[in-house]
Amino acid sequence: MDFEQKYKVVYVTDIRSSLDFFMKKVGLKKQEELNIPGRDCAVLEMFNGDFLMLLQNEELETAPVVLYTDDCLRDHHRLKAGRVDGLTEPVYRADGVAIEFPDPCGNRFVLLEERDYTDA
Amino acid sequence: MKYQRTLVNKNEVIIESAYDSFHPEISGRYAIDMIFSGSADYTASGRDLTLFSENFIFFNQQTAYTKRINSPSKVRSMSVLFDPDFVSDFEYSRTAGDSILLDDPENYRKEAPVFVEAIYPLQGNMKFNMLHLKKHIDQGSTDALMLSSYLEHCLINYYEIYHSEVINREASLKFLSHTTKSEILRRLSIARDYIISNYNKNICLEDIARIACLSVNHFLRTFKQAYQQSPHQFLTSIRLQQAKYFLRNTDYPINEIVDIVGFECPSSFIRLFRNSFQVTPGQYR
Repeated sequence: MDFEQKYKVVYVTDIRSSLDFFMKKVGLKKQEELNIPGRDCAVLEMFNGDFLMLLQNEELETAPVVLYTDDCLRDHHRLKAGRVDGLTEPVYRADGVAIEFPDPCGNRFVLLEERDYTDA
Repeated sequence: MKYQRTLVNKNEVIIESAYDSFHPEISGRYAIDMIFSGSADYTASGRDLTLFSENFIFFNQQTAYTKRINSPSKVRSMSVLFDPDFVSDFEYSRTAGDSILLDDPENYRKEAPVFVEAIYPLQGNMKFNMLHLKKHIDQGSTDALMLSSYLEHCLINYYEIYHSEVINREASLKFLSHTTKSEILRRLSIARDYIISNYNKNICLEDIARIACLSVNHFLRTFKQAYQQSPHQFLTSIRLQQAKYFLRNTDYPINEIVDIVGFECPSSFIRLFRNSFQVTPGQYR
């Protein structure tokens, strides 16, 4: 078991369409579907090895959800090829390079490739 | 020896890993050449230049240059060769307004930009993006659209570096005429490249000024205006940056690194290193 891996829980209003979006458009792989009483839940593996847990909920996330990647330009290309509406161009920031995109439920995601500029 | 050429539309990426190689008279495309480890010698426009690890050099499309590697240790390098139309289109899409781009999308073919050719540190976003590009090519990716987006970002990063290293420095020179500013910066850039190429040798101020075609006093004054440091301080910073590279990437003893980067004694090196980076070379390693 890798204890370095992190889980990111995200509320979605339609888990099937969100799961479909993250698998087909973003290119994440489904790890497992969990049986939580009264709620559907799916776990996806992200590009950097962390996990994204989609949890069925009546309300969405109130703030943009930050996901981490090891190569933002590669993921931007993948999302662009998948014709994701609302995808932004990569933006260089003080902590790395980031793109933004919405999921089908309306959650806003920031995909950030953190870069340490100290010695680079 | 490894020599891998990857075509990305009309652009090309060449990854080379060699002890000994010679590429004469390369021209016809804009080039960004970078060294990941070791060094390579270049001859361009009558200038002899040496490109060391973690630096890159830019050549315009009309410049014919020669690249030579001759080293006891393996030199890893990458060349990104941009088709002139790709660069012109990029330049046009950055500078023209949306309405002009819609009305006259082919206008970029009329003008090819000309840049001041110089050596720059391979750092920041340029370094991250180029390492990603290299990784994809090493893994055998042939997705031209994806590789092309890395090349576009390579230009975005280069333009940013060019703006801070050339345009802004040109503006900081205290001359009224724009032509004078451009010419002085061009000569200072030649001097700067000479310092970088010979950072590990004993070089004197008179030689640098002569290569820049400036008097010593004029050179000292304008160099400080443009780069906010004296040529000697600049040379020291290059030596310290290279020392950092050797500390990070090799297990050479510190005394050997002191010799390699051109410092005369370990104690002054350790003092300068600590003053610059607030850690000793040993702690940094």
